[in-house]
Amino acid sequence: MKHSMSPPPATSRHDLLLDAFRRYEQRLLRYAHSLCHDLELSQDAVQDAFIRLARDIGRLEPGDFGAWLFSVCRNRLFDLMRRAGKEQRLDESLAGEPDSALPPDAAVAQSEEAQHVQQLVERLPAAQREVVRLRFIGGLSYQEIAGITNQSAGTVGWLLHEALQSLRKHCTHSVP
Amino acid sequence: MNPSDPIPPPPPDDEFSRMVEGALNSDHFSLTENRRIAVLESFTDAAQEGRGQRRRAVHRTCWLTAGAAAAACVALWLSGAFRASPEAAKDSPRTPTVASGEQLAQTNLRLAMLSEQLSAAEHQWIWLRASEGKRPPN
Repeated sequence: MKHSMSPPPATSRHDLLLDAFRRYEQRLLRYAHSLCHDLELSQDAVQDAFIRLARDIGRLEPGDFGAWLFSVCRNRLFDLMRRAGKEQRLDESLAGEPDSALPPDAAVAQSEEAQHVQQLVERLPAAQREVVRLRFIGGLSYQEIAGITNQSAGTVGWLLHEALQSLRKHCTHSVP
Repeated sequence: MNPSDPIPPPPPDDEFSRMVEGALNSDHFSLTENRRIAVLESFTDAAQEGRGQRRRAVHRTCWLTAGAAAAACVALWLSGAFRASPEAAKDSPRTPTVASGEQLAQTNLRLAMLSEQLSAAEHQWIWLRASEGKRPPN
């Protein structure tokens, strides 16, 4: 499992943007959807994140695209959720009770095991849930996650460790 | 374990971590076609903007180079590099110059020494003839 995803050298700005789009489109959508469970809002946030990347690419290093996209997408999504009057849902996503109901348009032929793990992740404490998503969906490093969530890398490592311990404990019956 | 404890090692690349990652990435997502088109158009605009910036940078470089060349010419001119050499100055027509104070003092001294060698009558005659613009007789 490789988490550091530095884009290969690209010859032009357009190539770099296309490469970032190929790498992060699905991951960003998945991450955004895991936060808000609203496909339309997720698409808005991801689209805005890529358009902002195109606008700001001159100020960024290609190796920073991933963390930058996740950070922008996350902030944009929270902004859209507030505007859409989904503060309650946002609070739930960040700190409250789990919401395991996936909309029918997002769930595509998931195995029982995958659904079970997703439900377990949804039940994790909010801080652990966020770190698990950024690590396993975003593929980000501790330092990158720390930058996005405004925590120290040590706290990120501890949260991830605790989350995996918890998941492992609840998943043992379903893993061979 | 507390948050203040040292960072634990990254999750092991084991079956369980792979299973969690696979489960969290098992569903398929993609932007709708219209949104994809909007994103790709922004990429094209950014690429064109990048080319425009490069062109402007080239133009800026040209202007800076021309400006630097002009400044170098002015500096050379001020340093005297364009003045004629001493050999050329010998051949060039002499232009009137303003004598310095020291030169005037030396000329006056020589005139005074010559005046002492002349008699008073000769001295007066010379000055009279000079004032009339006539040469003295031999």
